[in-house]
Amino acid sequence: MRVVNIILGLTLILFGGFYSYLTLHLPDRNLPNTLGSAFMPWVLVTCLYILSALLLLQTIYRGSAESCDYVISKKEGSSILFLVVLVIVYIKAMAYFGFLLVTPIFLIILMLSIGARKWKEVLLTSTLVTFGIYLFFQKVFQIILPAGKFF
Amino acid sequence: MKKRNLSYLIIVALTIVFSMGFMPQVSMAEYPTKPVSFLIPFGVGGSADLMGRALAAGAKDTLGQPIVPINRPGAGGGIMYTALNASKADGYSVGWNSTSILTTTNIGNVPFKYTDFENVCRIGYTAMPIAVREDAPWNTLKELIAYAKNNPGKIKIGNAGTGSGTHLTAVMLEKVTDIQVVHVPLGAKRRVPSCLGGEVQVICVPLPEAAPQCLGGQMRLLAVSTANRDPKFPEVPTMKELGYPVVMDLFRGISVPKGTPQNVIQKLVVAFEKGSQDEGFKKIADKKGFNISFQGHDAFEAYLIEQNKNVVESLKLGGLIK
Amino acid sequence: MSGPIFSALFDVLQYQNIFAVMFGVIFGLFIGSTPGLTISLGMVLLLPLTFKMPAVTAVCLLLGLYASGMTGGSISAILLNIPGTPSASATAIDGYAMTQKGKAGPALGTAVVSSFFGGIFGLVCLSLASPLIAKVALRFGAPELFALVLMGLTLICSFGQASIIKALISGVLGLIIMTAGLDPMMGTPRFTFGSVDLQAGISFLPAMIGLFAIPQIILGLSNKIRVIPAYGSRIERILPRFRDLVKLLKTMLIGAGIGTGIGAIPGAGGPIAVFLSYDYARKTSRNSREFGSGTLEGVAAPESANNAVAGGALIPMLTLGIPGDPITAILLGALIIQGLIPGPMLFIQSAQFVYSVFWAFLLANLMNLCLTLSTIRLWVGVLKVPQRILLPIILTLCVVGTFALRNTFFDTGVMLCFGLLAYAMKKYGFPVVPMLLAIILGPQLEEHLRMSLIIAQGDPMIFVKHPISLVFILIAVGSFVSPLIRRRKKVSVDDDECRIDTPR
Repeated sequence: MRVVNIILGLTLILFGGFYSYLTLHLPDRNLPNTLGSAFMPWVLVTCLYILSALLLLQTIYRGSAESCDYVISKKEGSSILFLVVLVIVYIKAMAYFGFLLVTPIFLIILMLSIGARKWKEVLLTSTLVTFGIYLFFQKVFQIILPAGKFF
Repeated sequence: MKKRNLSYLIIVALTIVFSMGFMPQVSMAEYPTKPVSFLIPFGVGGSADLMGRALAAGAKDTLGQPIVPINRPGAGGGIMYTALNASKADGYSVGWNSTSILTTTNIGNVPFKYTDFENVCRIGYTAMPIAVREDAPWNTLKELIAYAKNNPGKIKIGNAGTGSGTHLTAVMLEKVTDIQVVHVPLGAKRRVPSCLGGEVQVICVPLPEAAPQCLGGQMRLLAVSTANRDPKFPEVPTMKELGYPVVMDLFRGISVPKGTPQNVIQKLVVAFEKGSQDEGFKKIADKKGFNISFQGHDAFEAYLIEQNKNVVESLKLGGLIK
Repeated sequence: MSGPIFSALFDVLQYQNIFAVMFGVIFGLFIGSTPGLTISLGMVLLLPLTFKMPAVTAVCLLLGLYASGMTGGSISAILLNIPGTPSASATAIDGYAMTQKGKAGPALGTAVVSSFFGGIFGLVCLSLASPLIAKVALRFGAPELFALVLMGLTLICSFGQASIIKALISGVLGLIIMTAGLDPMMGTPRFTFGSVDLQAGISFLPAMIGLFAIPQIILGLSNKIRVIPAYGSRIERILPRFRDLVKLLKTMLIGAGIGTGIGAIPGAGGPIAVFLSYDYARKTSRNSREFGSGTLEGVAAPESANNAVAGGALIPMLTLGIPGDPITAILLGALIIQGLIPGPMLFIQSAQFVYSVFWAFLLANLMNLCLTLSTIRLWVGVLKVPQRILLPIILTLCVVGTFALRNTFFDTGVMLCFGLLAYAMKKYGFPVVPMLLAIILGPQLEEHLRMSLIIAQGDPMIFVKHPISLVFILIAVGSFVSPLIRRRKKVSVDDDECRIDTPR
C-alpha cells in the first residue's frame, strides 16, 4: 500500500499541473480593484500541491498506518464496467425508443444480473415499476421523460 | 398454478397496453399534434418560472395541446438558449425568453446571437428601478448622482450579476452621468437583504423583486429604467425624463429555433396572445409588477434590434466586450 | 392581543385547512423521499391550486409540504443511504449506519421526533423573537457569510480518522471540481472545455446521489451479497425510548438553534446548517467518537436542524419580505398573489393572518409527526424487498431523478462520474464526506470571498473589521489546527504499535 499511496500522490500532482495549465490560460475579464477568476483556482491548486507532497513524504518516511484493501478485484472491475455501459446504453436508447420501452429491458437486465431467476417476478416488477415511475414523474410531476425519436 | 401464471401474464399485458395508450400518437396531422415543450431559462420558483408556468397554462387551450414547462436553468439563461438553439425547428420546443437572450448572446459565452432564433412575440416588460433604503439620505436620483460626483467610488450599486440587465442599467447610468461607482454582483438571493442590511447603499433590481419592500415601507424607488412611468408606481420618475438617456426594459417573450414554419409561428402568436390575457396569468403578472404589453412577431423583432443596441453599447461601456 | 390569536386558531382549524395540511404532508413525504423531486418543484405544482383558495388554506397546504418534505428526505437517507433532499445529507451518515446495525426503526423514529422538535423550536423563535432575529440576520453580509462557510469547511478535519491528509485532499478535490462552470462574479467560463452544460456548473444533487448511491450498487452487482441491510424478521422497537429522547434533548436544542439561526440568514441555506449542527453536536457530545458509526445523536442533530431551518427561513420572509431560501421564495410568491405583502406592515395590518401562519405551521408539524410516526412500519418495510428487486429500482430512480432535476442527462452523467470517483476513493482510503461538504460549500466560499473584496475594494481587513466574521474565522482556524495537534501526539504511539504487528 505504500506503493499505491506514492502513485496516488504523484497522480494528484500531475492533475494539479494540468489544472494549473488551464488556470494560466483563463480569459481575463474583471472589475477593477478585485480578485480575478483565477484567484481561487490558484489557491486550491497550491493546497493540492502541498497536500500531495505531504502524502508522499508521510508515506515515504513513516509508512501508512491505514488498513484498506487497495485492490479493485477483477469481479468489481467488470461490474463497474457493466454498470457504466448499461447506464450509458440506457440513456442513449431512451433518446431513440423512449422511456416506456427501454426501462423494462434495463430493469430486466439489472435484475437478472443481480440474481433474480423467477420470470414472473422479473416481468411483473419491470413493467409495474416502469409504469409507476412514468405515472409519478410524468403525470403527477409533469416532468417529461424522453418519448423517443420514432414516436 | 397454471391459472396464476395466466393472471400474471394478463396483468403484464394490460400494463403494457395501458402504457401504450399514454404514448404520443404518430400522425401527420396539422401542428400541434403532441404536447409542446416550454423551456424556462431559470430555476423552479423564480419570477420567470412562475409567470412562465401561468402563461403556459393560459395558452394551452388556444393551442389545443398541453404546453409543458421544462426548467433549463444555468449560465444566466445560456443553458436554455443553447438547448433551444439545438432543438428541431418544428414548433414543439418553445423558449420563454427574457432580456437574458440579449445579454448571454452578446457577452460571448454561447456561439450564437439572438438573431439565430425566430422571436415570436413579446408578452410584456418590467422596469429595473434604482432603489435605496427608506432611511437613505437621498430623496431623488439627482441628489444621489450629485453625492456620487463629489464622492467617487463611495457609492456601491448592487445588481443581479455581471452582464445582467440590472448591471447594464447601472453601467449606463454611471457613464451618462459621468460618476464613478462600485458595481457589486450580489446575485438573486442577496440583492435585497444586502441593501436592507446596508452592505450596499443602492440596488438596481427588476421591479418585482423590490416591490414588496417598497410597498412595505422599507425601501424607496428613485427612478425607473423604462421609457414610461410604471403604472404601479406612477410617482416614480423615469431616468429619461430626469435627463439621463438610459432606457432598458426587462422584457419577456417567446422564441423558437430559426427555421420554424411561418404557420406554426402564427399559431404560437395567437395562442400566447390569448395566454397573456388569461385571468391566472394576469393575476400573477399584476402582483409581480409585470406590465403585460403584447407585441407580435414583426414588432418584437424590431423591438429587439433597438434593445440589442442598448445592451451592446452598455456591455462595451462596462468593459465586458470590446 | 389574545383575541386575534384565538380567532386565528379557529381560522386554521376549519376542516378544509386540516385536509389541506394533511394532503400537503403526504405529498411532501413522497417528494422528499424521492431523489430528484425537490420541495420547490412540489410547491410550484401546487401553487396554481392555491390561487383559488383562501389565503389560510393555501398557507396550510404549502407549509404541510415544506415540513414533511424535509422529513421525507431523511427517510430515504436513513433507509437506503440516498438523501432525498440536500438537507438530509448529514442524516445519512449516522442514520444509514444505524440501519446497517438493524436499527432502522429507532433511527427513523428519532429523526421524526427531532424533526418535530426542530420545527416547534423554529416556530417559537418565529413567533416570539422574529423582529430581533431578522435584525441580526440582516447583519450577515458577504464577509460574515464567507466566515460561516469557512467554518463549515473545517468540518472536513472531523472526517479524517484514518488519514487527515487524505480527508483534506478529498475536500480540496471537491473544491477544485466545483470551480468548473461560470465564474460566480464575472460570468467568465472556467474549465468548461467548450461545453455549455459545464457552464451551468456541476449541480450538487446529482453529485450527492452519485457519491452515496452508486458505490452501493457496484457492491451489489459485484458481490451479490446483501448491501442494503435486511430488516430483521424480529419486530424491533420502532419508537425511540422516552428516556433516550430526554438524553437527546441537548443535541436537539443545538441542532434546532443552529438551524433556526442559519435558516434566518438569507442565502445561507439548509445543507450548511445540518452539517454545522452535526459537527457541533459531535464536539459537545461525551461519546463523540461514536459519531459516524450510528448514534442517535448523529441523527437527532441534523434532523432537528433541517426542520428548524423552515421556521428560521420564515422569519425574514414574514418580517422583511425577504425569502430565506428558494422554498420560502415560492411561499412569498403565493402570499403576494393572495394580496398579502409580507413585511412590517403585515404584522400591523393583518395580524390575525400572521397568527394563522403560526398556527398553520404548528399544525403542519403535528400532522407530520403523527402521519410519519404511524407509517414508519411501512417505510421500514422497504427493506424487506429483496435486493434483486430493490437495487434495480434504486438505480432507475437515480437515473430518472437526476434527469428530472434540470431535464438533462448531463446530470445523470455527473452522478455516474461522482459514483465511480466515490468508489475509487473508498478503495484508496479517501473519505467521501469531505468531498460532499466541499461540493456544497465550494461555490459559496468563492462567491462570498470575492463579493466581500469587491465591497471592500480589495482590502482584506474587511474580514477582521467585522466582529461576527472575525469570531467565525477564529473558530474556523481553531477547529482546523486543534485536531492536527491532537493527532500528532496520538500518531506517535499508534505508529509504534503498527511497526510491531504489520510487517512491511
